[in-house]
Amino acid sequence: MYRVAVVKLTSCSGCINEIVYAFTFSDIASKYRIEYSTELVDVEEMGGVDIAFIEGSISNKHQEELVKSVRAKAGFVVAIGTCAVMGGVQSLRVGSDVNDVKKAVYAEPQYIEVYSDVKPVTDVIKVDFVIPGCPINGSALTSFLRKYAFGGLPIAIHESVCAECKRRGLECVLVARGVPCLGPVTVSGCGAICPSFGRGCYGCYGIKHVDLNREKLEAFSRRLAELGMDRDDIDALLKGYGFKVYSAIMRGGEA
Amino acid sequence: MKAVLTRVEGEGGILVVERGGYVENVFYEISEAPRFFEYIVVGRNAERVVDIVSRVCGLCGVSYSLVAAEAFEKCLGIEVDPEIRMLRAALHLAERVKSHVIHVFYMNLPEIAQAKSFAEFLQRNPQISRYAQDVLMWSRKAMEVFGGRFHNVVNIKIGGVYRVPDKSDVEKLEKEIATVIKAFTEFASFVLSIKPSDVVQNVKIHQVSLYSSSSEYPHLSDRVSLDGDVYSVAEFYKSISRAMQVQYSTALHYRVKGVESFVVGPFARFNQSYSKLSKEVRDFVEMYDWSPPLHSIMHSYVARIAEAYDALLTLEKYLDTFKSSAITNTSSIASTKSGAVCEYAVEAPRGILYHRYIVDIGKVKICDIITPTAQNLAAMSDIATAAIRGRKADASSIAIAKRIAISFDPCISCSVHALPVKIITA
Repeated sequence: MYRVAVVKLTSCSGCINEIVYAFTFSDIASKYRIEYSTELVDVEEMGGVDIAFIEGSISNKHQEELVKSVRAKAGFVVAIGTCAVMGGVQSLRVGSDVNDVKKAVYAEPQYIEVYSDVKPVTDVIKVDFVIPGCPINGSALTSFLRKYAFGGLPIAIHESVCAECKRRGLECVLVARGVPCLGPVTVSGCGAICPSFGRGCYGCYGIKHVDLNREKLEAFSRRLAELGMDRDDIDALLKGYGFKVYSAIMRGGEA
Repeated sequence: MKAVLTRVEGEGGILVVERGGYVENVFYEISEAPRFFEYIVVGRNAERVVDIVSRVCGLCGVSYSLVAAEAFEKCLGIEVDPEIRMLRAALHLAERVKSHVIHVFYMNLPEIAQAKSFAEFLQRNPQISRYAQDVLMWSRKAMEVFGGRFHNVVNIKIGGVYRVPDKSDVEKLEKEIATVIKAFTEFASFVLSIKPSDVVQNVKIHQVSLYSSSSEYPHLSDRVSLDGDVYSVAEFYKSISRAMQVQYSTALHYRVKGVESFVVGPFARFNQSYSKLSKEVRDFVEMYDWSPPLHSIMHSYVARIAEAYDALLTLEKYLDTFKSSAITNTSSIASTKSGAVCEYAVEAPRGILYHRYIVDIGKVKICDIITPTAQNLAAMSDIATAAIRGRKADASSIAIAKRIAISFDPCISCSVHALPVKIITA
C-alpha cells in the first residue's frame, strides 16, 4: 500500500475531487491509502507518506512553509491543477496593488495575509511530477496512479490542444469558423472539451511552455484580436490560468 | 482551544473561546487564503465572468456559472429558449446529485455509521459503497454530456448553452438511469435507516430558501422565503440579512436584521418545501420514519438524500422527453446600457448563492457574491455554542463542534472571503 497525502492550498478542491474519482476504481483503492486529506480523513496533521498531491497556489508565508514541510515528508510530490503548476485563475490579481485588491473585498483588509504575487508550488519546491488542468483530467490522474504502482510514470508529451482536436477529428473552430480559440498555445490534456462544444478553448490548462516565445505569443494575440476577441479578454485568458509560464515567456526567450 | 476541521471541503478550524476551562463561545475559522474573485472579475466581459466564477467552487461550479448567466440574462433582457433552460436545469440537478453523494458518502456517513473514514466504511460495507459510487459515476457522466466535464463545465453561456448534447449520448444516460435510481435507493435505504440519537437539538433558528410560486422544488429565483415570509433577493441581502462583525472576532456573519442567525441549504429547503418533492420521494422518506420539519442540523443528510432522489427522478423525466432540436442562442451582450444591475439567486447544493453585478457596456464594474457557507457560519457558530456552552473545553466538546460543522457541509473555498477570524479577546 502506498501512503497518500492530499494537501490543499489556495484553490477550489476541484482537482481533489478528481482524486475522489480515481479512488472509485478498486485497483487504485487497493494499492493506495489516503492517510492525510482534510476533506476525506480525520487526521489533523500530515505524517510521512509515499506520495503527496498538492492542489492550489501559494498566497502567503504560511503556505510556503507548509509546502516545504510537505516536500520533506513525502517521497514523491505531484503538483495537481493549473493553480499548483502555473498559478491559476487567481493570478489575475497580480500586477494590481495588493492593498487595493484586499480593500475591494474585505471590510478589514489588515487581517488578510497575502503576497502581492501568486506563486505556483513549482516556484517554491522541486516537484517530481505535474498534472495541469482546471480541473485536472481524472483519466490523467488514474493513469498516473496505475503507472506509478507498477514503478513507472506517464511519458511527458508536449503538445497543444490542437493535437487533441486532430485526434478526435474535430473541425477546427478557429480556422473553419473563425472562432477565437486558445487551443494552439494551450497545454493538451482536457481532450479538447471546448472545441467539441463548438466554442474556442479558453486556456484553462495553461500556456504550453515549449515552442513558444514572446514573438509567437504576440502574433497569436494579434490574430485573436483580428477574429474579434476583445483585447482585455485576450490578456485575461493568457494570463488568467498559465500566469507563470506566460510571464516567463513575455520576459523573453522560451519558458 | 483550537482544532482543525476535517471531512469538510477546504481548510478551516474550530476556535473555542474558554472561560475558566469551560466553553463560552464557538467560532469556525477559515484558514484558507482568499482568491479575490470579486476583484478579478472587474473589468472583464460578462461572457468571461460566467467561466471564471465557476472556479470559486470545485463542487458546485455549475451553480456559479448558471446564476451568473441568469443574472446577466435577466438584466439585459435576453430570452432563453425553454428547452435550453431545461437542459441547464438538468445540468444543475446532476451537480446536486454529485455534491450530495460526495458529502453523504465521503464526509458524513463515516460518522453516522461510526467508521474512521470512507475507506473503512468501504471495507465494512462494500456493496453499499458500490451503490453510492455508481450514482456518483453516473452523475459524472451526466455532467460530461450536458456540461463537458465533472466540474468547471464549459457549456453555460449568457443566453443559453454552447451545444445541445447528441441524442445518442442522452440515450445512453437514459438507458442507465433506472439502474442508477435502484442503486441510489439501496444506498438511501441504508443511510435513512440510521438514526443517531445523540444529535444536538437546534436552538430556534431561522430558515431561508428560494421561493417560487410554481410547484418546482427550490432551484432559481429572485425571491426568498424567510420562515415563510417572502422577500426579493435584493431586499433580503440588502436590509433583512446583514453582514455583521461579531463580538470577540473579526468574522463577518450574516444575520437577520443583524441579530439572529439563519440556515440555508438542504435542511432549510427540505423543511420549507417538502410538499414540492415528488410523492415518490416523500413516501420513501416517510417509510423510514422521517418527516419535516427536521429539528437537528445533524439530520441534514435526510434532506440531502431526499433532494438527490428527487433530482434523479426529475432527470429521468427530462431524459425521457429530451429534444435534440433545441436552439442555442447566439445573442450578443456587447450593447448593454450603462450601470445595469444584474442579480439573481440559485439554490446551490449548500444553499442560496446570490450574485450581484453592475455592468457597464458588457463589462463588470462591481461584483458581489454571497455564498451559502458564508450565510451559514453564524448559524453554525450559534448552534455549536448553544450545544457546548458551559461544558468543559475538552476533546469531547470539540468533537460535537466538528460534527455540527460536517452536518452543514461547509464549502470553505467558496466562503473564504467572508471571514478572516481573529480572536481579539476572551
